Amino acid sequence: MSKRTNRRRHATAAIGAAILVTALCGSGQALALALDADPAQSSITPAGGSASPITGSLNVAVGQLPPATNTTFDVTQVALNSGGYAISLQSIANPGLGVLSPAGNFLIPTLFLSVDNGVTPIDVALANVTGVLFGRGPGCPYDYCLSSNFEIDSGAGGMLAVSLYAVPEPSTALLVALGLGGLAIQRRRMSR
Amino acid sequence: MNRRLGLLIVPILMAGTMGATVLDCGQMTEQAVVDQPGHVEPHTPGSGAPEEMPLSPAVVALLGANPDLNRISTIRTRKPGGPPPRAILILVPGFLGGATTFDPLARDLVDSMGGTLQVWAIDRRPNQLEDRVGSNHAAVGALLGACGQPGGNCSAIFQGAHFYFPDTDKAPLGDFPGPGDLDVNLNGAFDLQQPLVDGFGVSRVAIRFAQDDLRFLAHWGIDAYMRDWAMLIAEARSIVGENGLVLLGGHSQGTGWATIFAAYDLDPDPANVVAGHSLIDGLVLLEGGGVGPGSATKPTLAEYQAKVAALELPGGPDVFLSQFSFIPLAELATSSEVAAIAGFYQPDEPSLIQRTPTFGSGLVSILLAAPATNEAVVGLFLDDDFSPIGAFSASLGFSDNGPNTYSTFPGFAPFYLAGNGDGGALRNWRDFDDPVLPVCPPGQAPPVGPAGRGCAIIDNGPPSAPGAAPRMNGLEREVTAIVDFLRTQFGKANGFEWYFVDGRVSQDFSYGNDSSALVAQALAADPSDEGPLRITQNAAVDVPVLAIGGSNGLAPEIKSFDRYLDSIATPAADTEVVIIEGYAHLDVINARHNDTVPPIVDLVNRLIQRKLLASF
Repeated sequence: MSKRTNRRRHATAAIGAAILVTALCGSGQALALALDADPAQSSITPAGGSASPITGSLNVAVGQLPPATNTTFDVTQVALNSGGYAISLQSIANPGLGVLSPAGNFLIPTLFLSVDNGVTPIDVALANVTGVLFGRGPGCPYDYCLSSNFEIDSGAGGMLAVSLYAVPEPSTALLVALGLGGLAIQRRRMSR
Repeated sequence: MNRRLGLLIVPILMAGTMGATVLDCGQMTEQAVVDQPGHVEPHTPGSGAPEEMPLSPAVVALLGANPDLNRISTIRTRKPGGPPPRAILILVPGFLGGATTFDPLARDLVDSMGGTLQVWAIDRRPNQLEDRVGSNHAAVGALLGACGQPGGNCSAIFQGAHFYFPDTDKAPLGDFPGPGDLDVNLNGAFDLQQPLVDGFGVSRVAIRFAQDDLRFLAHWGIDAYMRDWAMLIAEARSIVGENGLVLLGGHSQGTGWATIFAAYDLDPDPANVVAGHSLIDGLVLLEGGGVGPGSATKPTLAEYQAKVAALELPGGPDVFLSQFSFIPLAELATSSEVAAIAGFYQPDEPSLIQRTPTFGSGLVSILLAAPATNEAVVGLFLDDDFSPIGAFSASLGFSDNGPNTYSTFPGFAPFYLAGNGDGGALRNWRDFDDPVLPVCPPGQAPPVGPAGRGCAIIDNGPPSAPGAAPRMNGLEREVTAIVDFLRTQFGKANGFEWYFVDGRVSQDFSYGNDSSALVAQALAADPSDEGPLRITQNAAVDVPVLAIGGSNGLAPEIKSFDRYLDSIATPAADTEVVIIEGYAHLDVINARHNDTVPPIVDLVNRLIQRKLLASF
């Protein structure tokens, strides 16, 4: 193997890694995932009411992806809308700290949300919010997708059943695809 | 009045943080007293051990012939139903404090965390010695009589007060006929104290213990408390599991108790160490700097044992604190409870406790000479602008319907001495959120204020210089609703410890964070027993610590916590100190929209995540 070939392989890997890091990383070591709710597969259903699609986005900071061990899974931003409800994170420190297992299951022991129905904003603390972060395959045409189901007691509005399916934002998805593609090319060449 | 009744019936409505309504998630937050067996201290009545000490007639009269006083009592704030909590924060009250002092903070914390967290507030052992027949009669009777509502009946409050206090000779005032002005039949004649029927069906007046009634308190030292709390912590651990959190904290002197637990070796076997800090996941210190180095000279083992022996004997040294600021402690405690009930239900009526012997004469009558309403007398006693005692200080509002004389005495914080109300009116109280509370701008001398009557909000200036002792600083804030504070002083339990253990505990506290020399002497005498007090693990404490102070309190600067944090092994990355500007000593546990809540919630969240990373 020539030095030139080696340099090319290293360069390909470096570019792929750089793109992946650009796509995933925020400041520090956590990887920042920017996700959009898929309105076709996400909904909020009030008790006794009909489902309304969810639009909007959320950001998640993951300690390691894919996780070799349990890693941090912190919801850092939520801006979701559905049926007249606007859902965001409470304005407190670390409102969505959680963990992600190597199998892709996540748990947020307490998720601190603010729910605004246009009349009275309320703060809710949801215990034991769970879900999965899973990779490309059946049900996920992207490099990763997020799915979670939980309930919010909105007080006078009753219980809201939330079914959330989120996928990478288009720009993030493109960068991730490029990055993962670069890494895949490099790995294939290395294996030859 | 309706607001007050609502607070009593639906206490959850008092919760609220962050400017938005805090939702109760469909489950009422519950605050329940849990009484359970504690460590079996052998000298204590009910132990069944050969060392068990006899009961005095007064103790039998209050508690019956066979009481078991090895008990632990906690007030548990939790959301019933739902999944088990992931974290339990156990809190120790401060000097003279009872468990209900944590009610507002505990409720806010539990509401904020949606059931993930429970808060258990400890009532130390002596709380079971309090004769609360009168205050319970007053509180229940006022509620059932719709006292404060149109046509309501408040006579139970008079009866409860008169259960504790004899009639007094005061000038007629409002409902008080004088000269016999505490009598429930309002006939103007002196009466003996009002008997009430107790839980045994006996009609009697209040029982206040003398020192010789409670000689078994000689054996309620730190060791007994630490073993009690180890049992509580074990129970909490069994609820949250190994992957959950058990945090221990305290307010004011309670931080000393909590940090001593962390430093305590619970196993007297010299071959084993069961350090308190190994049983908990973190410490939360509220307006108290934790345990310090103790006295310069510490008792030897012989002196220690001699003191305990003396405390046991009739006529020996005091086993409980007999007075505070020259006021008999049980009377002060009783007054506090009566004043709170009267202030809660009849805020605008003439003060009941100013008619009692405790507040109607002596030192307190000088500080509280101006006739005041039931609500105002509590404000004038406890508000940070009127109280000369920093430990009894909250930002409750102000009173300006009369002259306020700026006063200073050596050893006390400056305070306003309230004069008689304008035009002979009772001194009244402006609540913490009154829009016209007088504010002193920077540079405005506190004695004057914008209307010549002083200031509710004073600028205490910059923090201390480097190397200097911490001092109050910053702009004061008014943050605590007096009605919330009043509500913490009566009911299911109370906010005052009537018989604060003195002789034994004071001796134990003199060792500060290290009783190793005492342990060494004990081992020299008996190699199998480390002795009566084993504070030997402070330097090994390595759990996360969150410390919160108020700039207008007793821990007003970050360096207020340096001494303790420097004495333990916890790395700096695992310590956090938060100073809340403008908060006084009691605000950190009583404030509406309490700024103490967010850092505690954040600590709990971060530590739960840390645990789950290892186990999820």
